[in-house]
Parts: sequence; structure tokens; C-alpha cells
Amino acid sequence: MPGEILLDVSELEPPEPLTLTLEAAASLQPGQYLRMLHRREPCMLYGNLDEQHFKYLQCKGTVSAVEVFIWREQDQKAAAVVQSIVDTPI
Amino acid sequence: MHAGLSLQQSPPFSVPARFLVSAPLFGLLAALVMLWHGPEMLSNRWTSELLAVTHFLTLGFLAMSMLGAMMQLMPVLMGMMIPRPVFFSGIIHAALFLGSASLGMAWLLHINALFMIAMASLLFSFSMFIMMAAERLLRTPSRHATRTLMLLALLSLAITAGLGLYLAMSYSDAAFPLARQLTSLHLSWGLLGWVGLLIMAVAYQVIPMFQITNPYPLMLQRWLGWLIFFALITLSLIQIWPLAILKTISHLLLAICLLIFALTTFWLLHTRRRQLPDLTLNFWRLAMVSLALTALIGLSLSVSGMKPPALLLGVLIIHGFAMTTVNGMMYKIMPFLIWLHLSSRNKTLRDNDQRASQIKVPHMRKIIPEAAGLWQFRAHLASLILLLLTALWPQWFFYPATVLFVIAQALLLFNLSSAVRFYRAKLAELASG
Ligand code: HEM
Repeated sequence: MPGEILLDVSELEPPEPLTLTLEAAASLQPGQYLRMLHRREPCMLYGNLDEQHFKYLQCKGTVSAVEVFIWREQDQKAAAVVQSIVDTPI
Repeated sequence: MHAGLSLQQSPPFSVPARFLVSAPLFGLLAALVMLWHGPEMLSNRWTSELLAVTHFLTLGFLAMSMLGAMMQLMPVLMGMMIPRPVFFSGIIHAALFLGSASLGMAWLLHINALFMIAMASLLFSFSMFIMMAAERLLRTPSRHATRTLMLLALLSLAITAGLGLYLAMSYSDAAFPLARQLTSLHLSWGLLGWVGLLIMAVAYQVIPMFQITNPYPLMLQRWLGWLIFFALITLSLIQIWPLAILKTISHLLLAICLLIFALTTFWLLHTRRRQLPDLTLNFWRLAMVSLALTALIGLSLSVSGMKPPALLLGVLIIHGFAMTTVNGMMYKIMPFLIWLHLSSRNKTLRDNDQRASQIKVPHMRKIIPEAAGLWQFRAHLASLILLLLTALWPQWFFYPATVLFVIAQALLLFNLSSAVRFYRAKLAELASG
């Protein structure tokens, strides 16, 4: 999947999950989205993403407890891909 | 790399920091009072010196740091906004500081008027805090077990403080009879309800988060705290309706719940996903050993019907469990706060196009040097072991124990205030840059 940037923070100590996710999100190219794997619901992430104009969707993960998809607010292409992944039953 | 990070709901640095730095000040005070008075202060359970030291620790160290931690954790963990945080935390802190200091001093100097000042300030501080925190917690959309447990802990604090104030009346006014049968309720609600439930509430979140473990089993998160609360209610009802069997059952229930919590936490830490050495981990382990020992001693006493060695249990739970946990948490909270506030300053600078003046934010682990924390842990551990021995053989171990207690608290105070100085220096660098 070329559009997907995978980031596994499930074994990192705070604040790394937060900082690495924000850094990875900041370097997303058009059409790309971030798939972040974590062991728990992230702390302080969503407020920061809102402020920096990202969209996100959290769901139950298959490998880790929680997965979060993150893409740029105006990136329709990435949004559509994420939607299709989330809509596909596993 | 600098992460663009904003503070979100996090209150200004001074809000939690003033509480966290005040705590070891009272710890040090307690230890110095012990050193000053010598082993005679342990001649029985009710010496005024012992009551003073107990409350320097339970109010000055524990309540102080726990209120400060809650002011920080409620916004960060549950997204709650505290109204006018600097103003409210300022007056709550000032009243708690004054109240804890004057309650202890009233006992040490035998000045009745000081009891009045203490009671008024503590009443003010706790009722302000409880009302503010409970109102926020009731409104938050979070349905995590932490929210329920924090509410139960606040209710327990209200009961503890209510009983404490009632007991203190007889010290401030000789005409008022001392209802000593309420003392054991007061300390059970204080140590198991307020302190125990709050530590659980926080552990459910911070153990998986900072120690990188699996989450606590959901059943346990949901029920354990309620069972403890329920056992405390039953113990209280026995005051009105004395039934020996109910008392034994409540004690058993309490001991079993504490044991389950201690063993589960130990297991989670043991099976953590990344086996990195970590300072806070040492504290958690020591705290859980102390809690398990408290529970086991309590369990064997309620089965055998023997009289509890009060001082031993007191040292185990106050110093071994509660202070150890808080001490360990301080080494996570303080660096995290400093890191967070510096990072957000950088973001503000960047947003204002002043990238050049950004500063390098150090790694969280570098803010309090690991070695300094480790030495403090060793002093703390040694002081715990010696204090436990003191509970059994006071004339032998009292002075070594208190000297180490002084050292441990002084080192903690030094480590925390160095971190604050480091933060201030970085801010000054920013301002001049
Ligand atoms: C408003 C705050 C408080 C006041 C006014 C207060 C007052 C008192 C008083 C007057 C006594 C002596 C009772 C007696 O002589 O029988 C006492 C005992 C005690 N209090 Fe408090 N207290 C307060 C908060 C707390 C808290 C929050 C804790 C624990 C977390 C605590 C733990 C204890 C313990 C362990 C004892 C028993 C000492 C012993 O058995 O030797 N107190 N308190």
C-alpha cells in the first residue's frame, strides 16, 4: 500500500508515542495517511491533531490494542482510502 | 527534531509544581522532628509527637502531592479543564500548607489556638478541592474506571477529614470528649479509602502508560475499588451496629482486595513488554511489596484475632506503600511536566516565526539524572527497612532509621527543586534568546 505510512509506537515510553506520531503526521505527502499502532488510547494526541488540521479515526487494532488513522484535513484521496479500509470487514 | 506540541488542557507549570515541591519539605520536617525528639516519642501510640509526625506525612507529604498530581492528571488523562487553575490551586495549596504545618505544630508545641487555625485551613482547603474536582469529574464524558475511583477517593477524603476535624475538636477544647473509637475509622478511610483508592485510580492509567505493561484486567478495574469502598462502609456501620463477625469479614475483604491489587501490579510489571531498567519501576515494586505485606499481616491478624502491631502496619502502609508510590511517580510527573512546557514554548515560538530562538528540549530521562534518583531510592529503601526494625526494637534502630529518613527526604527535595531550577534556567534562556 503506497499511501500508508505505518508507525508502531506500542512499545514506546511517553512522550515518544505522541512526538513521533506528530512528526510522522507532519511529513505526510498528498495521498498518504498514517496508520499508528498503540497499546492504549493515546494521550494528548487528538487535541494536537485538531489544532494542526489533521483528521483521525481510532479503531480496535488487529496487531495492537488500538489503531489510529491520521490524514490531512484537505486530503480527499487519503480520506477515501482510510474510509475504505475501515469499512472493509476483517 | 522538535515536535509541535501544545499544552492542551494542561494547567500552567506552577499549578502542580508547588504541591510536588512542598511534599518533601514536610517529609523532611517529619524526619527532623523524629530526630529531635528521640525514641521516647514512640513510647505509645498517642504521643503528640507521633501524631504530629503522622500528619506531616499524611497531610503535608501525601495529601499535598496527591492534590497536586490530581490537578495535573485530571486534565491530561481525562481532558477536563480546571477553572482558573492558578488562582484555585494557589489558595488550596496555601491553605493545605498552613493547615498541615499548624496541625503538627499544635501537637508539638501544645498550643490550642493552632488547632483552630489548622482545622479552619484544612476544612477550607479540602472542601474547595473536593467540590472543584468532584464537579469536574461528574461532568467529564470519560467512563474509565479511573473516574469512578477518583470520585470514591474524594468521598473518602471528605469522610477522613470530617472524622479528623471531629477528633481534633477534643484537642483544641478540653471540654470536648475524645471519641477515640472513631480514630480507627478515620485512619482506615484515610489510608485505604483516600490514599489507596486514588493510587489505584492512577495506577490503572500510569502503569500501562509509563511502564509499558498490559492493561489491568477489566473486571479488576471495575470492581476492586468498589469492594474496598463497600468494606469501609461496613466498618463504619459497625460503629452503630456492633457485630464482631461483620468486622472480621470487612477486614478480610480489605486485606484480600489489597493483596489482589499488589499481586496484579507486580505481575503486570514482571511481564512488561520492554525490560528496560527504570527508576520508577523500583519504587512501584517496593510499594507493592509493602502493600502485600500490610495485607498479609492484616489477614493473619483478622484470622487469629491478635492485636495489630500498630506502628509496624503504620510504617508499612504510610512510608512503604503510599510514600514510595508517590515518590516514584514524582520522578515521572516532574520531568514530563518540564518536557511538556518547554516543548509547547517551542511550538509557540515556531508558530510566531521565531524558529531561531527555539531551544533544545532535553530527553525526559535526562531532566532528573538517573543516578541522583537512584541514590535517593536507596536512601528511601534503607530508611524503610530501618523504620520497620524501629517499630520492633525502637531503642536499637531509631537513630539510624531517622538519619536515613532525613537523608532520603532531603535528596528528594534536592532532586525536585533542581528540576525546577533547570526549567527556570531554560525559560530564562528562551527569554534572552
Ligand atoms: C482534616 C484533616 C485531618 C485532621 C484534622 C486529622 C486529625 C486527627 C486527629 C485529631 C487524630 C488523633 C485521634 C486520637 O487521638 O485518637 C488523628 C489520627 C490519625 N490520623 Fe488524622 N487527621 C486528618 C487527616 C488525616 C489523613 C488524610 C490521614 C491519612 C491519609 C490521617 C491519618 C491519621 C492516622 C494514621 C491517625 C492515627 C494515629 C495513631 O493511631 O497513632 N489523618 N487525626
